[in-house]
Amino acid sequence: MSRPEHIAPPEIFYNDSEAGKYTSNTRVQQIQAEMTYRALELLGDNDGQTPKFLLDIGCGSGLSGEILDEEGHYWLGCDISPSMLSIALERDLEGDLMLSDIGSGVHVRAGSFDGAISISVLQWLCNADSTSANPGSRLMRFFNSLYAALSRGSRAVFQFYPESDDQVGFIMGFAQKAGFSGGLVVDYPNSRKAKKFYLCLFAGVSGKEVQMPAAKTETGTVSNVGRQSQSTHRPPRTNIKHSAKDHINHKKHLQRQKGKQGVPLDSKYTGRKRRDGF
Amino acid sequence: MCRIEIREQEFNADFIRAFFPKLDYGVLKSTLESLGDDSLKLDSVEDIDGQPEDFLRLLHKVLLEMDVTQGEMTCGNCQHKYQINEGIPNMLLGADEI
Repeated sequence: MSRPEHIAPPEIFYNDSEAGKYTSNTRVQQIQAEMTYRALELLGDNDGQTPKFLLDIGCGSGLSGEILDEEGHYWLGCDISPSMLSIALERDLEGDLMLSDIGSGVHVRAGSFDGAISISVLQWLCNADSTSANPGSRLMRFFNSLYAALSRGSRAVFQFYPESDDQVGFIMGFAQKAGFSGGLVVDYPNSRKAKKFYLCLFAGVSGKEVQMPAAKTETGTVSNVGRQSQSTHRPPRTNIKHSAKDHINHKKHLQRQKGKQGVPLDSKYTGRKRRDGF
Repeated sequence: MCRIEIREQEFNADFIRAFFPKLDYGVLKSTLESLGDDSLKLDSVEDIDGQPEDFLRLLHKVLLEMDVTQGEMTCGNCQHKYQINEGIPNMLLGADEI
């Protein structure tokens, strides 16, 4: 997969033509909408009564803002690309917009927001685009100011595309230093395409014990990759295959775990030979 | 030079009540006065629940419907001027200004 953040800084990469392409691509629209709904779900305890005041970090052309409008939330979006924001203006959204660089901090009154979401943004902060930019200090300033901007007990959910496990650790390290608790939720961990990373951060304690939300898989939910200690004890090997039928069933099981559609059902005919003379 | 537009939005009393404690009412009042609007009469508000709905509607208008589309904000600390263009404040700073 190509990584736009390796090509140019965001305010230059998303110029007028790139911003237009991005916004009119229906596949991008659909994926962004799905991820926004999921992020709102992870934001948690949505009683649907009082609307929230949310911060959309890296709102771009407002693909995620559109969903926030639909759900009845009030929101403020910030982005570094003027071209993206001018498209958001044309799309006539309810929320307010602000041109700002999150690497230089979130410039709002402390405790203003009931939550924050961010779709496909965080990986951009890990790149040094100029000699004066240091990803570490930019992330630190961002998380510190975000922690201040959120009200106590609220959450921030970031969907992002990390390059490696090291990058996840790098980002989460700064979030922890800023005072956030929480962890990573990985949806569809066995699939290469549907796999999505959500960083769920809690600002302060909300009184009750916070439980990390569970990740989604095709068959059900699996426990999340948090900071829980993992058992070093390895279970005995169970994948010793005896027959062709076992082998076929094993392959089908793996495909289902990856969320593939149209995997044949199991039956008593699975793995049987056809009759001769077919 | 400053331009203000009104964009109508649905009124939600619960949201305004929940939002009010986060607000610095004095700053809101002085900001409005600097824009030449003196619709907020009260000097301070102790208890939002005791206020009539007219006041909530006024807050709704001021907070959600009023939009400064053209103008500038001056930092009270360093006097840096942030321009507002088409309703979008430009908060970008140069590398030497951070």
